[in-house]
This record gives sequence, structure tokens and C-alpha cells, in this order.
Amino acid sequence: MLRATLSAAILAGAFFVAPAKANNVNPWQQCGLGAMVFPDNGTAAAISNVIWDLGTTAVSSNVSSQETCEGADVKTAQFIQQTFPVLEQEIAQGEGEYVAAMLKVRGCEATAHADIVSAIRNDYADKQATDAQALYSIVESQVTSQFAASCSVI
Amino acid sequence: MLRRISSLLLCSTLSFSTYSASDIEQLAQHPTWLKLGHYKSPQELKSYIISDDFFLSPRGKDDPYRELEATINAFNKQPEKQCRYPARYQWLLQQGIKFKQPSSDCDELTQWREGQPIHSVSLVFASGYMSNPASLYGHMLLKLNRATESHNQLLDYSINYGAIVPDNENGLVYISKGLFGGYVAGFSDQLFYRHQHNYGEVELRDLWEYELNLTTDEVRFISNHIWELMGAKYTYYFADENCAFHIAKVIELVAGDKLTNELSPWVIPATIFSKLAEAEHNDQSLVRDIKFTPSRSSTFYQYQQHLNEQENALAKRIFNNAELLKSADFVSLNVQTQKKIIEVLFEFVQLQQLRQYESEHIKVIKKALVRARLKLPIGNEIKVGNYQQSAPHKAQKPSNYSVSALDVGSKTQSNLGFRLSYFDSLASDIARVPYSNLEMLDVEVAVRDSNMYLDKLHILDLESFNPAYTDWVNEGGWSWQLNLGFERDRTNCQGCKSTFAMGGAGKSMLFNNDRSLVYGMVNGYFGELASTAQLIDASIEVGVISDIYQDIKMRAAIERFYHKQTAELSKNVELVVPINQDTDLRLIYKSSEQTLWQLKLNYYWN
Repeated sequence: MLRATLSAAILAGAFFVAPAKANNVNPWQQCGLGAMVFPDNGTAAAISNVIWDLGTTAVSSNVSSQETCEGADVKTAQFIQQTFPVLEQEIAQGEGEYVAAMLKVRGCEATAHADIVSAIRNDYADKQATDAQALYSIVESQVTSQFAASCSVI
Repeated sequence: MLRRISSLLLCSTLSFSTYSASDIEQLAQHPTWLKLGHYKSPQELKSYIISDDFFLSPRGKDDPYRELEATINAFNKQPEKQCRYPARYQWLLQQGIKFKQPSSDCDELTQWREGQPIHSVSLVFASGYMSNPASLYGHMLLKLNRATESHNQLLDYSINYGAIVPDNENGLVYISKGLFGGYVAGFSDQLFYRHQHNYGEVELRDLWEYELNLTTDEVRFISNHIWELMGAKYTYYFADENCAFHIAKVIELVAGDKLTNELSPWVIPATIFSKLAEAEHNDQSLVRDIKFTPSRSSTFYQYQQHLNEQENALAKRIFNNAELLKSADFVSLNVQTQKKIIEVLFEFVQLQQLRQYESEHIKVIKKALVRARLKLPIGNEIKVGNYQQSAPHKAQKPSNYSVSALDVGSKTQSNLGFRLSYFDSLASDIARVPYSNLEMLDVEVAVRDSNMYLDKLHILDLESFNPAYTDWVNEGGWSWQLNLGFERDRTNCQGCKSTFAMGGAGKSMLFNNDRSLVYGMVNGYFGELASTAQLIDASIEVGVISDIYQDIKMRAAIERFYHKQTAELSKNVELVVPINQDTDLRLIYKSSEQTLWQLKLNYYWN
């Protein structure tokens, strides 16, 4: 179900406009995140605890292959895609270890986390986002505008 | 002689070294060097690693001396090799060897190790997962901790060991290759969030993290060695050379042979944690701290206990009708109560989403919950301080020897038993799925009238009762069982023997504050069935499993077979009294045509 939801999210993503970013990378479309992170394979889900795809044995913990797909924004997209259900819940509640980790991955200072989460909550309520890519768009839009000084430049 | 000449040549290439040829030979036999090459033992100098590119010498796979020689030569001539083999380099420097090349910066390694500094090492136990046979025994991960106050543990490095299995692998091929070594395996590196999410949120498995008491230098040594191991290939064996074994081997690089020595021919993750908890290192306990991370289901069961009866009822109504989140019943509650109800519903909805129940309804309710929660102030209302789960090293050990005295139809006999693994439905609930049974290779031999007989051979005995722990909808699932083996059934007739495969399905229900479970199942049998001389039979089984007092447990069941000639029911009662963590005493009563009494002493071991 989770995979189905995320796959749907990826497909639905084709209709969203990527937020303006310095390197103009839409991780969903250019980095192949869907297939790379969650291959559409139910069997793999069932056995993933002992059998982990070793195609990702690169020590860097970064599954992306293109140079443009190795930035903090891509890692953030990857994080959101892999943890969306719990992340969405934490954003609604306004705190949690997953949302803190997401902002850390994006390179945002811990002191700014509370304000960024508050801004994301407002956007989330307005836009009624329902999938991983929509959440990514909201996060990226906030950290590259209002909170650009507190987060890494991509 | 050749080796001696080669040693002399090698020594002549070392800069400022005080090492003699014989020192180099000794160094090649050093336990740490053998561990760095993953050689099986000082007696069996063959590496577990099968990939040629892990070794610098073409003969390195089974010759630690040649590998040491090649390593020293490489460090003298190719400074970049320090970055490929940082643990070897670190250790050889500690042994007093000096190389012609200065130390390299190793930017990539330094960024990986120091970008957010690795400060400690943990081993993580993921509890068993009844939905996948390969995961019944739980799983082990290694975690390189980088967390600080401003950098949370989800971004720690999580090191996994597993087999490389093609997509859509056939189930039988998967089992046979897993058991007999047809898969290549290796270590992989992820950020910990991926594993915590996969195990805790998707597979609903609790996690225990054992942080190790290591020095800064030891943490660096392990980190460096893990860097070396990325890409190294092994042969995977599910029973022994598995995740627990090879991850323990990495820890033994600094902790000595405390975890994998004296292991039985099978290695279960819980066994390694049991040894870990007993081990000492640098005159202190090897384990510094144990931390529990509840799965989504454990969290929900705790959370829903924070609602009173009315709040619980309202939450269930909201689950059925999300519009109630806008009703006066809900919005008139104080903010704290609204937050509590939504928090419980969030946990429940996530569970339903995983279980794929009514997916459209779940989407609607999740969206409504998010919208309602966004209107309320930031911050969680429910805080759970203490979960009741105990750490895996406190669990009953997996293997067992038993001795029994039996009285069957006024004749006596003695039985000796052995069970390979892992637990039965009356074992302690620690670090396992409660109300389940996972036994493999369970054998009893009888001594009767001065003769020996095979009394029981259960190759596989699985049960999962899967009860509902709350009265919320869709909680719980089907109970099922599977048993494959041989039994001598003296309660039905003298000399009755059954070789059978059986499976059953049914339902179960908890009562007595979840301390008792009643179940009913319909079973199907196939094989040489002694009591009815049929090839196929069916039965109805009704039973109860109960925690009577503290850890004293009892299971009672009656079973009626379809083909049985008489109206006599098969009755089974088993009472277990734990004596300590490693021993229990059981009284067993079975009755059909005849009555059997058995007094059994079990000793559990790793």
C-alpha cells in the first residue's frame, strides 16, 4: 500500500511544477528516485529486512548517480519519499524526529527548525498537499525563500 | 625459504622500520590481521570474503602473509591505498611500521567519517517478523552513531549485511540458495532513517539498540574497517554465516573473540545480543547503554491507553466518520484532548494503511486528521516514558535439551530431547511475538523397556495466533499453524506412528487483561496418520493459552478429528514453571484412548 501510494505520488508528480532552484533539478523526474528508492516490487518489500539491494553499496550513502542528483535537495526529496506517511503526521503535529532529520538533511540550522516547520504547516494547510512530491515542493519553496539564510544553498 | 627471501626484500623496502623478517611473519599471524582479512581462523586460513578485489595479493584470499606483504608494499608505493584500506593502515602504524609515503588526506573517507563525526558504535536488533520466514529470527544491524543534540540519530550510518537476491526470485530457489549458499552477500550503507522506517513503520518490528563501550580509537578502527568492507562479497548462508555472524565478526576486531566463539552451527541474532550483554571489554561491560524504539503498533497500543472510555469511543466514531472532527462533540473538547484523540487516530490510521484495509476510507480520514491537526497548536500531547518490552538478551535462549519421565497407560518411559530453535507458545514473551510458536528440529527419543525409539521429530512447528490487542476495528487477524514431522502417539494405540504435514487456520481472542487467549482452528492433516489409518484427515481444535501467575503459563486444548472412530476427544494440557532464564519445568497431560503424563525439565542454551 505504501509503495502503491508512493508510486501514485511519483506519477502524480508529473503534473506539478518544480520549485525554482539554483540547479534546476527536479529529483523525481531527473534522478529517477521512484525506481531507485522504492522499486515497484512487492516481493522486495517483504524480504527487505534481510535482503537489501547491494546495488547501493557506495559508501557515500547516496544512491544518486548523476552529479546533479547528489545535492541536499535530492537527499531531502529522497528522505521525504521514503518516510512520507510519518513525516506528514509529524508536520501536522509540528514536531518529531523525522521532520528534524529532514531539515538537517536539507542543511537547515537547528535554531531555525521550529520556524520552518511552522511555515511549512501553514503552506500545507493552504495547499492541502497529499503526496510526497507536494510536500517536497512546499519544503523547498520555504527553504529557498523565507529561510534561505538558515539553510544550505544548493 | 622463498617466504624468508621475500620477507627480507619486504623489510628492505620499509622506511625506518625496526621490523625484522620474522616480525613480519609473526604480524601476519596476529589475530587482528587475520580479522582484517576475515580469515576463518588461525587453523583455516581462508577468507570469508570471496571477491578478488578486496585483496591486494593474488593469493591474499588464503594467505594472510602474502596479503600483508602486498599491503605494506602498496602503502610504500601507492599513497592512495591508505584511503582504500584505512583500517589496515591504522593498525600497521600502531604496530610500529613506518612507510616511505607520507599520510594521505583521503578527502572522501574523511568527509564520510568526520563530516559529522562518528563517535560511537551500536548493534541494533530488529525483532522477528512473522510475515516472512527469513525474518522469523529477527535481524541485526550495525550503527555508526553520529547523533548530537542538533543532529538526530535518523541520520546515523546504518550498516546492513544481506544477500543479493534477484527481483522476483522463486520461493523454493530463495530458500535452497539461502540455506546452502547460492547467494553472494555483502555489507551496505544507508542512513538509519531508512532502516528505522522500514522496520518500525512498515514491518512493525520493535528495535533495540545496544551502544558499545569502545574507545575513540576503537570506534575509528571499526569505521575504517567498514569503509574497507564496502563492496566486498561473501557467500550467504542463512543458518550460520548470516547478518548476525558477520556483523559480530566486525565488532570482534576490537572486542576479541567474545561473540562468535563457541557458537553452535547456527547463529541467531538474539544469541549474539545475549553474548554481547555478558561480555567485558577494557575491564568494563561491553554494552554501555540499551535503547528501545517501539514499532508503530507498539506505539498505538500505548497511545490508545491514554484515552478514557468516552474519548476512546469518540475516536472510534471519528475513524468511521471523519466529518465528526468538525462536530461539536469534538471541537467542544479542550485542545489537549483533541490533540490526544488525533494522535491516537494518526497511529491507528497508519496501521490500517499498512494493512491495506479500506484504502479509500483511510486516505479520507488521514487527510481530515492532518487538516484538523494543523489547526491545533504545535506539540505532541501523549508522551510514553516506559514501554514494557524487555531487551532481547533477557529472552529465553533458543536451543534446548530436555529430560522427561513419562507414564503412558500405566507403563513408564524416559525421554531425551533436543530442539534446535527458537521458542514455543509457552516461552517467555521477551523479544518475540507473543502468542506465537517457532520451533525447528524438535526431537525426542524414548527409552522404554530397554529399547530406544524416536518419539517425536518436528521439523517445523509454526503458530501465529495474531489476536486483536484493542477493540478497534480491523485489529487482529487470522490465526494459523503449520507443522511438519513425525510423532509416536501412544495415547491412541500402542505402536501408533504418524508422519504428517498439517496446517490450520482460525481466530483467537484475548481476555483477562490480555493475559489469556482463547482460540479455535480448523486443521487439515496429510500423511500416514496412525489413529485413523487415513491419508487425509481434518480436525477442529479449541484451546486456551494463559499466563496464570507471573511467568507460570498453561495451555489447554481439545481436538476432534473427522475420521476418528470413537467419540473420544484428544485433550492436551501443558503447564510451564520457569526456574530461571535458562531452565523450566513442564507438566504435560495428554488423553485420548489412553492417558499420558509427562514431567519435563528443559535447559535452554545458545
